Amino acid sequence: MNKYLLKYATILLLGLINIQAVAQGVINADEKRATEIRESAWNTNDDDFQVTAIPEKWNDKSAVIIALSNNLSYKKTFLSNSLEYNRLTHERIMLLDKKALEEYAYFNIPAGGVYGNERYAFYAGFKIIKPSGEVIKVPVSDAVKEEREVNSRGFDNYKIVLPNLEIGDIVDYYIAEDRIVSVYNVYYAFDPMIFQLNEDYPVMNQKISFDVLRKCYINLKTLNGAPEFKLTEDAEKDKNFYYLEDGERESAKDIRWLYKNRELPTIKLRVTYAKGMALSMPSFLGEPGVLKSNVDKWTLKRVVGSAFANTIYPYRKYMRKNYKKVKDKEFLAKEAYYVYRNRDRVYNAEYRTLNGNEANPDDQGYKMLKALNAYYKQEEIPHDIMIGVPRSISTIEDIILEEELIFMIRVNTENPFYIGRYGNHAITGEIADELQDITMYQVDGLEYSSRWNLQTVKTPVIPHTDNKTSSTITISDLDLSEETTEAFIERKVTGANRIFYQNVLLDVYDYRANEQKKYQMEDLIEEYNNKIRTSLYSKRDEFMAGREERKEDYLKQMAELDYDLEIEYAKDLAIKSMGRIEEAPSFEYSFTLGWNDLVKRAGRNYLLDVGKLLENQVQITNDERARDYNIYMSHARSYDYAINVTIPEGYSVQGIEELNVAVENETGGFSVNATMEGNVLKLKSSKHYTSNFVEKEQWAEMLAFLDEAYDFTTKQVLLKKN
Amino acid sequence: MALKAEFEEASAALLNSKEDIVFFYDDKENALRVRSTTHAEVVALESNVNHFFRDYFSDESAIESYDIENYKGRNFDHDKYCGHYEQDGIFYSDAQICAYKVHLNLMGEYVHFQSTKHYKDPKYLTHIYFHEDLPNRKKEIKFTIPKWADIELKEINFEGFAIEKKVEQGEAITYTYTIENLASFPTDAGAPGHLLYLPHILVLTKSYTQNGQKVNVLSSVDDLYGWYASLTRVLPKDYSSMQQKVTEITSDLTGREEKIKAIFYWVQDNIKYIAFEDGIAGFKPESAEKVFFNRYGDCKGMANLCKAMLSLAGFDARLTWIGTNRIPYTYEIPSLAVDNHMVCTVFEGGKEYILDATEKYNPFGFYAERIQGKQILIENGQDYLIKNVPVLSIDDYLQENNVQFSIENGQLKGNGSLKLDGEYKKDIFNIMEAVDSERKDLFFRNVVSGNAEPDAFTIASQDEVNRDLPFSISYEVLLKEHMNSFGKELYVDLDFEKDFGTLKMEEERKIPYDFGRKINNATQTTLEIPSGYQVEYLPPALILDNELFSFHLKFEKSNGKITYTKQLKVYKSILPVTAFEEWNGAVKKIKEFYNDQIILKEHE
Repeated sequence: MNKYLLKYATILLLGLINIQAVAQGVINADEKRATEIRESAWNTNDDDFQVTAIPEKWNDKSAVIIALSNNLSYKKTFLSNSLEYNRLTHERIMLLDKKALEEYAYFNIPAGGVYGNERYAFYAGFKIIKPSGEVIKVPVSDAVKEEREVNSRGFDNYKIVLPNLEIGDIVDYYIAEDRIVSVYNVYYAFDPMIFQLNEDYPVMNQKISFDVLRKCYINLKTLNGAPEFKLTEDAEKDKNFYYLEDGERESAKDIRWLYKNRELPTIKLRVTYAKGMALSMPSFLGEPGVLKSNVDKWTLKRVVGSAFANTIYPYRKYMRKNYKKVKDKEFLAKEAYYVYRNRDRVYNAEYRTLNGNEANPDDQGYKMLKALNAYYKQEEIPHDIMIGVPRSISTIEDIILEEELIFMIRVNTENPFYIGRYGNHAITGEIADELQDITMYQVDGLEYSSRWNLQTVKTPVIPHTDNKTSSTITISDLDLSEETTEAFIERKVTGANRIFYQNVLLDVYDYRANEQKKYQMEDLIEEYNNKIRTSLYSKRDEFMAGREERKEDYLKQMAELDYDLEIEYAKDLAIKSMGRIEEAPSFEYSFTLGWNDLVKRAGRNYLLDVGKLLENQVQITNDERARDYNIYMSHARSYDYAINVTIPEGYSVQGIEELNVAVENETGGFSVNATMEGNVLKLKSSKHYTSNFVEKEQWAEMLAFLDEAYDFTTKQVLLKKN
Repeated sequence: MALKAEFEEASAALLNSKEDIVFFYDDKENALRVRSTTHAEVVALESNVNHFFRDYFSDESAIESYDIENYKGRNFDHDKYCGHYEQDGIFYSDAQICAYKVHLNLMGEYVHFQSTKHYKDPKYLTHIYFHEDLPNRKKEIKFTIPKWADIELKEINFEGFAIEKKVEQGEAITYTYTIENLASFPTDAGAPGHLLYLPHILVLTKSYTQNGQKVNVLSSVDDLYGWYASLTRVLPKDYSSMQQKVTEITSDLTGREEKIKAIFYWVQDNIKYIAFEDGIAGFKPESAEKVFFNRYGDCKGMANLCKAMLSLAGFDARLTWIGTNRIPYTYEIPSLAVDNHMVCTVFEGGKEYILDATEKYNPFGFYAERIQGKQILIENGQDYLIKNVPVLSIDDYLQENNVQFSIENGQLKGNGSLKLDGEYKKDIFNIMEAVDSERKDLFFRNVVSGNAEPDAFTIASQDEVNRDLPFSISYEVLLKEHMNSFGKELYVDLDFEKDFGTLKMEEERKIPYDFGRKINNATQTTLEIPSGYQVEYLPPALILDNELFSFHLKFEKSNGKITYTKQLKVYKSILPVTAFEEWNGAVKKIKEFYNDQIILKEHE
């Protein structure tokens, strides 16, 4: 994928912009504008874009970015309802191997056009600088157009190949986007952007600049050591010009357990147009044309207060009817959550399932928390609203955009608890990964927001013992003459570890019946008209008919991911506990698995790959052993294994003592204890990651237990013929 | 639902589908035309099925109309995408698609699709498959051919398929082929070209007569060559821009063969494969000068550049058409479907040198598996020559691995040398280019150790990239996983790769398997028996020989060493379905062999 599209794809993935069908256009269509852009990219006095040599230290890299600039411009057109956005991305890169040559040989450029109230135009220019100094300009007219239309709406694309490209060449190209947005409202927010100053290749010099007309608002924050923006004011044009210069950045890509936004120099930015009424709404906007880099507590309070104002708990009647005489506030607080989960999630899960949609879609529970806050106020249940930013994005001190906000409730009854995760199976007391180990602001949920006093609190890390997967593997009939070994596996999974298993192995019919009874659920299907009802019943019959086979398929697929052994079959799934209520929070199930080649013949004896019964373990490559960044994981977690293998008559086991290992340090641990009890080989193993965060200085400690666990997967015992 | 039981794995099936192909004379254009109408009746075998009807077209064909209807004949809601699509390995072409997405809400839901396509030039309608992307209850292909047209329908790979054929004479002749209960297009991994084994009809539009005039379309290979030659004849012949480069490449060379080789290698190394197959560009080579300047081109462009540069150097170099091994036809068949590739042939000193510059890093004189044994059509002025690409011996594919193991400090330590040749070497050189400079060591580790996860691996040395010589990598390795000590016994596994140990053909597989190339792997491993130990057990040898493959694996003890010799040969790149049982039997045995271990025992 070419560089430019790659950047676009990233932004699309972040959901920050939404390019849909674009009516057909042509690149470099407006000659005057094309010339203007070309001049600003190629005919400047910017020395960085004249450089033709790279530092020796980067000679062995695939490519080196000599210079990179991103110029953004936002303005309101005088006397019209249009906003103009211009972006010019200019890169000068030296290609040092054939891989880079391949990557930079092709470019895709959207054709542009009009859709809805937005008009797009794209401009581009490409030149190659040979080591001799010869400059080859590649005419954009050489690009070929790929026509594409969806339901008669076009989104054409141009493809261009750079000719005569050889190792050692420099590619100097720009791609510009002009967007005109017709604004009919008093508010329009441009797509937020996140720039990271580390790229896939090392960067010698880079600049990010933007100019904003004074009627627009800029929210911007530089993080993790990214340099600050500098300001130049142009009073004549009523314009502010901000720019940042940076350089000497090593490449950073594909790094395990890294939250890039927390470690790499990063810039987040959003420009907003607002006037009149829009300005009176609580928001993070600052002064027009002036860069806003900090959101104070007062502003945060106004914005969050306004979001939590005037909401209601939609199931008041139900609560009143069923729990009229209940005085236990803790009970009511929890029950209000479970009733909401039932009505908002479980009620529709069957409909979603039958129509082929995700039964348990992700949801941060924002609406749920607002509703609970309303109920708790009404019932005078003491609670705090907690306000933060997802752990993978930044800290609350660095918040700059409303979109970054994330919430949780802490109920302050006799046994305080959090409501911090939402989903079909989320239970009270849980805290989502993104909310753990972060600083949040806490306010009294019973107070009017105007009286809120934002207190800083640190959220806990759910301990690894609460996010645990325990497996008991029993092989009672080890037939050495057979290729397939059958094992009975019982698994108990708690906390964050259980979510994956629940999503795969539970379907709505596993938990609907319980809830139907408890929460007096109507059959939703009955509420539809005859045609839809008939169709849903038919789908239900079909779903139920294929249910067992489907679950066995899922079970087998999961086992294939879990074990470095060929899976012959997975069957007999029995779910013993669904892990959906606080009283029974673990997901428990059992199944039978057939492994191939677990035992290997060696003369008269057999080798048992006992290490492979522990599931796949993380393998750290040599490249990863030196680490420059702190370690971020989703959550602390632990894995326990109890393995019982009945040894066939006539054989004795050798090599047991070699199985006993133990590594324990602050970051985690791994241990195995192996014994023979009668004719049963018993292994007890445990692995844990103490926290969700480890400082890079402790990486060696992590490696100690990770390596030990990986090494164990290669261990065998000998079944020796007596 | 009976259909569901019949087509167990499918989410939808065709109740029937028809292709109605009518040849007619277009009075306005004074030309023979073809109209092809497709009908497809699809029924959902599950609920919530998204199905795509696909219509392919290009500059030479156009979709005239289409309808998608429900069982009442009313319009069926659908999304429509039309436009270019990505084709593997082709940067840009005139090939386009209209894809219509229908959502079948309920099991049993029915939708009917009809589309009419118009071929402006009938030679572009080359072949029709019976298989579709859904399993099919009944497929019908009907041709209506006027008596004044000479169109031959060649039935290929019909054996083993119950295809009925009905011929009706009338004003025109109609040929109707039907088959019932046909599986969907196979999507198995390692599939050879579909034309090799799926039933299809080759449509040879030879000629037609109108107003007493006979018009040849492609009646023989003469016509085919005539058309190709008409496209290449007009290519610019002024190669002066390349003269300096040709001189630079050849000036220090004295031997004629050396010069051919040097130019061939220069094109291989400097011209990137980028294909523009837009309209006639799908058949007409790009001018040599343009390919030379751009430093990119497709097979035709590279062949033409080879021809130009070699001509400048004083050689008789000619464009050469060829069908790769995905195409089973010879030039007895006058059709555009007969070839899909172009190379350059040099006539020198009574020999022919066939140069395929798209095969980066192939040594001079080595032919890729995909063209070996294939017929070639070589330009020869007004005439042409038909010859064959030689088939190379399996010896040219030798890949040798030699490892000396010793047991030191309780660890299995090895010094090895891997020597690669043949197409695998070529593949390795090509992949090396795609690997990050910083990750080359990891790449070589994987080349050497395959599935094994060595505890320590270092490259001692590696040869420079030289396509003319075998490529050697010397390495040192430590293996924990391959040795275990139990009491007084050591269990040792000397095999890294365990080639073919898991390559079992699935029972459901109905199509041949393509290895991609012939295989000739020879591994010799020695293990020094540590002092104080003796050999307690050596796994018995495995010897399997047949005309398709041979596996020879054995352990021997001599002079304080154990020698493990492994010779694996696959003589033909494609394994036919009839050989699957034998192959699977061999895989089972080789897996048992790999699982077995050497046992060394400490002296009492």
